[in-house]
Amino acid sequence: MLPLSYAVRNLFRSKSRLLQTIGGSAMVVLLVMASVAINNGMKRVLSASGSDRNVILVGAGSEESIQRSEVPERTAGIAEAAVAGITENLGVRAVSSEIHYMNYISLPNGNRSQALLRGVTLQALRVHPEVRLTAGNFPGAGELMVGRLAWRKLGLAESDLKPGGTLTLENQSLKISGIFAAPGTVLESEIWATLGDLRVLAKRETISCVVLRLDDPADFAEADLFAKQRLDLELTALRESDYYSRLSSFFKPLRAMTWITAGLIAAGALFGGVNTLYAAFASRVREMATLQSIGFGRGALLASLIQESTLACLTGALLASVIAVAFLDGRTVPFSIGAFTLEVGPGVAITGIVTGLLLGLLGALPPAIRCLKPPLPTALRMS
Amino acid sequence: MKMKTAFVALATAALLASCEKKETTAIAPTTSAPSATLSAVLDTAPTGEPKPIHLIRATAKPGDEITVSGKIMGNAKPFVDGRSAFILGDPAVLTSCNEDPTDKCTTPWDTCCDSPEDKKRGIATIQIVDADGRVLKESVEGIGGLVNLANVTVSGKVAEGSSADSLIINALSIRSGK
Repeated sequence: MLPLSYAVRNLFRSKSRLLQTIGGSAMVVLLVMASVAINNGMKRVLSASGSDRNVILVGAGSEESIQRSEVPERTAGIAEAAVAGITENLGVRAVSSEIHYMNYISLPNGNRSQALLRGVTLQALRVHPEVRLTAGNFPGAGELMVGRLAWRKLGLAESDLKPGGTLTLENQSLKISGIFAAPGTVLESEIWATLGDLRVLAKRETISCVVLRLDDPADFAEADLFAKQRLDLELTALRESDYYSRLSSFFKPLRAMTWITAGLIAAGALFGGVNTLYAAFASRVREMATLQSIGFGRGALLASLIQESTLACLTGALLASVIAVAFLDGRTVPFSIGAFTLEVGPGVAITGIVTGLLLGLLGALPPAIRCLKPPLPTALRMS
Repeated sequence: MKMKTAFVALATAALLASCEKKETTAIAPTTSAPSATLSAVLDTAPTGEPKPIHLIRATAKPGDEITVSGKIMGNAKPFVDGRSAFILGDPAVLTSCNEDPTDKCTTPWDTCCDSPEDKKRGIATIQIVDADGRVLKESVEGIGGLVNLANVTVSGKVAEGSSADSLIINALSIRSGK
């Protein structure tokens, strides 16, 4: 075997080629890491947003979109009395009437942006226990409570959405009463108003859904039975976790696009790298032949050439990992129903390293084989 | 060369396998034997002349003994998982999508082409209750021929809380395939 130092020394024979290889592989690895982080982030936020203990009663036929759903206002009271297994604290059952409404709101900077609003009562805190007020108060009439990531969804600076500020919806100025957190869920990108205010502003006579929190997820059957017994209310019972899983499937094409983009760029970079290495290794045919003639086997030479390429690509992967940790980790990415945070965890890091290794291996193999293929007498005479 | 041929054959097989038409009717397997109460209902033959749901719903009062017939349809999931209850649709009002040969709907029992008004007047809830009047905590899907789109005749009592807008029948006998 040739010593590793031989491969390392050869790396620096052409500094521009080395920089090109490191830069190219860093770009590909960074793209792959970003794709994995985006996919994981979106899946994580959607799966964390739905609890299997929560049941959403929506209007029959509106199972795909709560915003389109229309449920009679009296449903909450009837369901509260009829469905067994609802969580009860201090004699109050966890049943929340909600309006989910998407519309443009006017922002402090004069722009308009699409926001997801939820009309609620205090009961919402019983069915969404992950929601915590981090500043200010729960909204009263004429007020809004904003999720701590709503600024990202609206395209504002974080400082633009503070308690005391105002947002305008349907020409109505609404004061920000507080900020809430709901870690890892899409709720954090929402804006909550009182049910009464949103009913008026959205010009609705019905609510969008009734959310029930159950003691035991197995009691979903009770809610489903209720929906099928009260045919007059025209309801469908959905597990909240199933609703968000379905949303996750809806975003599959979007996630696939990130993979396809990363794949196409990676393929382009790979072919570019292969081309560069063909040229680089072609000029070393005689050098390889000389090494063969003094006793080194073709396998040892192939391993050395792959070492060279892999070292350069792994350096690129290291550079990409540093960039990912510095610029991607913790960054919030908005999407149509909320925002999610990118996490550069062990899974993403391992994917980056494996990509770097594969780039080094696959990029070097064809040119290296071609370089070592000519018979020794021919190779020694090649210029 | 052999490798290439084998690869082409494998790829062709995979492609053809992916084109296979998917089965549309899924019957949830029922693992345990039905309870005595449920068996008694399924083993008893309905009595009386069955009436269409859309006609009987206006006059039926809680406690009345009635016989209805119809098809298990009118909802994307007509059965309640883990409970002895299902939705029965009136074929005189609702049309399951499989009756239209050009319709490729994968859930023909949801009668998605019918209007909400027709669905409202053309469906009833059939449930099997215990001595205390509580719906049995066992699924009926797949038992005694009770599957999506099965023709079913039910005799039973109109349940407490039933109304003209929401007909609920506590079944005393159920027969499918009639």
